[in-house]
Parts: sequence; structure tokens; C-alpha cells
Amino acid sequence: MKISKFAKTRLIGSIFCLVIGLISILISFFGKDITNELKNYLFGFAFGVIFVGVYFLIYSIILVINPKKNIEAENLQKDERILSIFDKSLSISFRITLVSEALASIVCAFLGYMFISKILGILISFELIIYLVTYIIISKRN
Amino acid sequence: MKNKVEEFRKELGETQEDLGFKIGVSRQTIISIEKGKYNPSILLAFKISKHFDKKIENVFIYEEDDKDEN
Repeated sequence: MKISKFAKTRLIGSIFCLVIGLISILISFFGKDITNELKNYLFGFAFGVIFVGVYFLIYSIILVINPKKNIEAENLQKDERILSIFDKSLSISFRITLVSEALASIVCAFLGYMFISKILGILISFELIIYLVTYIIISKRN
Repeated sequence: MKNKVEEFRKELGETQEDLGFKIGVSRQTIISIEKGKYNPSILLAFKISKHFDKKIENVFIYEEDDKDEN
């Protein structure tokens, strides 16, 4: 049976999640010298990771069994409309985040929380620098 | 931009899912193109036209008052 690269990636991802989940559960049960809080955290983390792993495992098995589903899933990954929706929603989220941070920074400054205001200001500058760098890199490539 | 994707697809007796599958996009994308909600890239427009064995200008009709709809 030939497994496509797409299904193989999901399969490897699921195995990775399951292994990480299993290790976390083992540590949470048998780990020595760790606090109960950390044990609970690890157990919760393991539960989440195993859930994702099982989901991807079932998904990759479906893709291996049904080649048509596999092609559909691959098409979805490179569908230009979906990619453009993804890009637009990311860009809108970025703008909303920036404006919210700027507003929060101003409000904090007026209320006297200068430390938070400064941190927010630094964060905004950092985000804008990353934006500028990615813009330059992308514009040079296109 | 208007298009005749739905017309040519029905001429071939294909479903939206069939067409999407053959040109490598989702059924939702075909629905959006047919409704005129989404203007495909030049590459996808060529793929669709080639699939119908038509010239691109016969499948996608540019109108002067077209705005950037995407």
C-alpha cells in the first residue's frame, strides 16, 4: 500500500503526539521528586496531546484507506481561496492586535500603570519591526 | 468579472465537486467562483479554461467597472 507524503506527515505527527503524551503520563504517574501541581499539569497536557494524536492517527488512516479523500485533503491544503482567506484573517488579526495594544498602552499610561504601558509599547515596536523585516524579505522574493 | 464556469461545467455534465477535484481546488471554491464572489488567480483561471478546452477570455469576462472584489 502506497502512503502519500501528505498522509505520512500526519501519521508521523500523530505518532510524535502519542509518544509525547505517553511519556508525560508516565512521568505524571511515576515521576519522583515532582510536585502534585506539576503532576496534574503533566496529566492534563498528556490528555490533550494524546487526544490530538488519536485524531491525527484516525485522520491519516482514513487518508491511507481512501485515496480520493487524500487528494481532496491535499487540494484543500493548496486551495488558493482558502490560502487567501487564511492570509486575510491573519492580516486583520494582526491589525486588531496592534490597535488594541496601542489603545491599552495609552489607557495604562493615563491610569499611571507606566510599566505595563512601556511593555506594551516595546511589544508594538517589536511587532512592527518583524512586520518590516518580513515585508522586505517577501518583496525581494517577489 | 463575470464567468461561464457553471455553464461550461453543466455542458460537461460535471458536479462542482468533480470539477474541484480535477483542477485541484475545493468544492467551496468552485461555488464561490460560479457565484462571482471569488475571482481566481490567473493560473487557476487558465487551469479551468484548459479543463473546458476553451480560451480564457471565453470563460472569464472582464468588465470595465470591475473593482478588486477579492
